[in-house]
Amino acid sequence: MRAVERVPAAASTGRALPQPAQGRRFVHLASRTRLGDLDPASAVLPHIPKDESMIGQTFLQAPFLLALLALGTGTPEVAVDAPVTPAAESPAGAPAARELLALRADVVHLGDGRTVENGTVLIENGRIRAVGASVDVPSGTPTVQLHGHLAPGFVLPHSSLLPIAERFDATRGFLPDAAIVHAFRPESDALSKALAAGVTTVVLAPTEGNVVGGVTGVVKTAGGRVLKRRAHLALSMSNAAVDDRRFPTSFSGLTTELRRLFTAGEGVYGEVKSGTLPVLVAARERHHVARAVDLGAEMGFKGALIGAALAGEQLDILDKSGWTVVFETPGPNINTRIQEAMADYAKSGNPFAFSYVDADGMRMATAQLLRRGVSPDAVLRALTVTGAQVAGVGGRVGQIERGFDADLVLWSGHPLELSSAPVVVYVDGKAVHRASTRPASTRPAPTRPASTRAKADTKHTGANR
Amino acid sequence: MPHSATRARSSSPLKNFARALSTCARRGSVRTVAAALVAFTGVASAGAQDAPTTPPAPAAETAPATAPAPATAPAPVRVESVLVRGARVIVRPGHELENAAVLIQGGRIVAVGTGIEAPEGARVLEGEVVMAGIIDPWGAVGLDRASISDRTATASARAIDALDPYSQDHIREAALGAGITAVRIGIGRDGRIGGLSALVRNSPRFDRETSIVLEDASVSAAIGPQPGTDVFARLDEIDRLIAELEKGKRQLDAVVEYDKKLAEWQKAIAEKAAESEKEFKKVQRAREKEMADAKEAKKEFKEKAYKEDAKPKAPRYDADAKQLARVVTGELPLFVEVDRVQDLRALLQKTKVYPRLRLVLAGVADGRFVAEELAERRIPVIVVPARSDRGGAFDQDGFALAADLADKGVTVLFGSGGIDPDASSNLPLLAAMAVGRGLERKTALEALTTLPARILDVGHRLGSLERGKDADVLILSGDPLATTTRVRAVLLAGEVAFEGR
Repeated sequence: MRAVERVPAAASTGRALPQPAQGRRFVHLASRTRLGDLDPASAVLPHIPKDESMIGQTFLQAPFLLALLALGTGTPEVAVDAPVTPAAESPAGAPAARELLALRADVVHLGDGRTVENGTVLIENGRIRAVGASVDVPSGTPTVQLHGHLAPGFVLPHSSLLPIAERFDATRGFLPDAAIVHAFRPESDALSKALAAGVTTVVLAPTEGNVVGGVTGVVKTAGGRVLKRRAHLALSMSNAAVDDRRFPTSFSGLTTELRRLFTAGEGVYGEVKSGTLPVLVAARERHHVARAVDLGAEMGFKGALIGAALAGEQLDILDKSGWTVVFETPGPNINTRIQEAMADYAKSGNPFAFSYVDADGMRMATAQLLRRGVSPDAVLRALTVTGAQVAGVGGRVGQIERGFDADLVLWSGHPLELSSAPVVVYVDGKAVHRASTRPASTRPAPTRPASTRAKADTKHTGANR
Repeated sequence: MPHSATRARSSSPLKNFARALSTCARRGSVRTVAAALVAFTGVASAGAQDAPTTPPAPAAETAPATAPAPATAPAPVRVESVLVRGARVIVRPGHELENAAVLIQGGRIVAVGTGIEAPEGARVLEGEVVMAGIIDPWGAVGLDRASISDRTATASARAIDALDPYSQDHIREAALGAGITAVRIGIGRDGRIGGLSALVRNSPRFDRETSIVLEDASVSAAIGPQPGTDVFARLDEIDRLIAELEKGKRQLDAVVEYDKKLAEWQKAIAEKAAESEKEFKKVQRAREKEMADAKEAKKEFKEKAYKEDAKPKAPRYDADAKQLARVVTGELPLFVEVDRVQDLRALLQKTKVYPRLRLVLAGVADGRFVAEELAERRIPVIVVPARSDRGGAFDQDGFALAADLADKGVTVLFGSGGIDPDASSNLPLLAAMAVGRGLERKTALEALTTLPARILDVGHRLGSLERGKDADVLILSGDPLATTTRVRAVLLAGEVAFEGR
């Protein structure tokens, strides 16, 4: 059961319904269809794929049909706030009038390594309904031709976005019941900066100053939506957690106490042990990492390691360990050894993602990996698919695929080129940010990364190789 | 310097001359008088001839193979040639050739163009893109870390004296691997005046001749909150920097004045000597009489004092003032790290009185507020990534600053910040980021190559792939500003210093 907060749907007046075209065809890049992927219109159309029609029956309810009849065919408008309600959670027969929007872009990065040239993304009620090179767009659907690369909004499974006062408690080392999502302030400046940099989903997390920092939350950077109230238990096994003014004052004390808590398995610790709540463990140096992996093996938990700058030198314990490394992105000045270790880890094929401090730091860290030979696909995957998986919202954001939230960023060039910039950011299908000036780099760059040349129909390129 | 040579002499020339004359008189030789005269007039120029010039040793001497070449011997002329071919050769930003080549001989570029054939025995390198090495005008590669933040440095403290060429090999390699071939390094970042910066190549093996491009690239200074200093100290920071410049100006005036007086004095001495020669007998008699008088009075004989003996006094030797004087005359550029708008305004206002001063500003977080004046006075600006310990009071949108300043006509460079040796390797990425924030690609490339070379007065040697320049050449896998581009090879003064994996 997803815990999703949403703004109540606006009264469904004045919403235009496009005339469905005959013989239309959706190009699905994924055969998987989930309950959230409902396509109400398909219910009234001929030539419907079977699975869709069956699901579509859910919507063959009187209110929906009435709405269908009542609506005219005037000029379609975009951006009326009414997210698609997944059928699993919606009261049966909720009026689900459709808002369609089609975005065409020179290159569409699906997030998992595949790209589509001259692709179209069809968005319905803030969710992606179809994507591909030949999507049949219902006539009358507002269509926007975008010049540049369309990529999923970035998902960063750890961040320092909240003020430090909300992320750190100096008096107590253990705050298992703290829920950081209470400190979420949707209007904050830091959040809008992240949005402007193409980051659409972040995990709000405590600092590494508390051994147990509390429960993290996943939020969108626009619209104030909380995707997940309880995403992870944040632990810290780094130097900052060992404080000489409060318990624990040593790594031994820290480990002993965590072992005791997990063995007793009460509250959040039990949730972690049972696998319902993953962990984010701050582990900066190599010995922190080793200790965290050992304790996880002993107590039966796994998750993501935050920091782990030298993970590339610890492949003996981290290779195929099931842990994901979330690299910190402190800014341009990461020392050479760390850069090399990060690149080694990224090239090893093990999953990694990035933590968010600020936009420049994030982009710089990704560029440093590329300069050291990590493939653009692997880095893009870290910023999208892996990020979403670590955040625990993997089926929901981080990919341009049917059923996912339409969180998209139009970049002036390849999203990982530092000379590219986000031009428009869409969250839930709405343009929530536009760059104030169009950068000079929107002219085509003399060379493009190899990944952009890949065709949509090439099979998965093995992003981590 | 003539005055330093004369400063070593103990007694006055005229006294010596008189003594020589009397010696000659005793011997009664005219030739010795002439010799004394020659000896006297030769005094001023003697210093220059002290070091005899040794003729260069012939290169093809049959020296035994085991004997190491003497360090002082000039390097044998290398006829070794390297031909670098590129699908795209960036001769200089804005001037590119397709399928062209660069021919290098003896460490210099001898030809650039299409259709150049490889000479016999030449090494041939190939790549997608070929361009000149990138110059970091504000870095710290190779510097001893404590010296970087020296708080007590003065204008004459030299960065090359803080060079540690034996460590940081991996940092140099990383910088070369990113295409950074030369870095301006400066010490004393936490002091007001940081001393003489140097321009140093990132040679894998340190070799004084090729590694050090300039020992005195600039004098550097910093305005802003210095760690550990009183916050009120910044109230008169600009005034204190100006006071340093004034010191240089005074030194300059004093030297000019001294040179003038010295010339007058030398002229007077020469006239007196000529006069004395004419009245040789008279002078001799007078001297003998004085000697006799002294003997009679049982007093010590003293040579007669001439009024011409009053030699002008050289200005007190002040190494700092000397360097500051070079700054005031515009011989050396002055790099000032300054961020806040009030500091910028005060600095610009108070440096107006030095028309030849070549100011280069670094940091300049609040530069947007003074962009017009910077453009009008042609003051270049080095943009660096946001720093935690310094920075303007206003929020700077990262690297949009570069584009905003360039739009107003300001010359923009990129620097890695001068603290962290590792940071130099980020320079092309910083430039790419600035392009993402609206800077023209050509301007960004100029900021990495031709502009820093020109501002550091090495435009005739570095910064582009033109004939006659030092062969600091990059061979890249793609566009220099593309993030995925990798450095295939780097040539430093014609030799392969880095080869990518």
